[in-house]
Amino acid sequence: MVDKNDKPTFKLIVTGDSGVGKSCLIQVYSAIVNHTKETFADIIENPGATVGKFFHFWLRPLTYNTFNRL
Amino acid sequence: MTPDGDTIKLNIWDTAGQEKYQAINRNLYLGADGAVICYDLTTKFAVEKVDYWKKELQENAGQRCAITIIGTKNDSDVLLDTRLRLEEYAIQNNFPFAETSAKYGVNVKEAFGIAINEIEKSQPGTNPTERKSLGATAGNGGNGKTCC
Repeated sequence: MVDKNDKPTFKLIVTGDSGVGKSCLIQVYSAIVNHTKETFADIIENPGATVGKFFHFWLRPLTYNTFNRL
Repeated sequence: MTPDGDTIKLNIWDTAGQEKYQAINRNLYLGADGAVICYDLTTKFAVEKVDYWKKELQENAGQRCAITIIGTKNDSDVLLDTRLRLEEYAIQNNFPFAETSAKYGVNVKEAFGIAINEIEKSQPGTNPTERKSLGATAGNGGNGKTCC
């Protein structure tokens, strides 16, 4: 999908059984990408069932596909 | 991060794992470019569980949805059989596979990077670098169509 500003937009779904660590994984990814100081302990402090939650990121190619260039 | 010519937008949807919310999940799957199936490496491998998520995605998001399999909690007591069989499942289905530890932040960014690359592979022309080399212009989405 390409948005009206000509930026490729990807919709990525994270699925899996309850309790496998989906929400945790996404929140850790969010903390890494956004350089926040949130720790794993902060993230797991509020466990609970997710019904559906949305995260939005802007990414430069070098931040996610450097391993392809190795 | 500030958007510029080399950025992509990534919308991640965290879905419910519980059975009772699956009807909601099916609506979220619509129009997905890619999906990650997470599997806890510390639990016994059950092929029907992974098959269930694969089927749900393929039926509701469509065949073009690029699937990546991620083994989670690899910092804990990982069951070797689970690790091997999950990786084997990924290979058999031609899905990329990655192991992560959210607790220590190991391989998390890389795993999502693999998922994004898989989407780009399934949708040629969406990689910003590739789009530049193809001379993609605004509006055509890099699909190679030219005017006149």
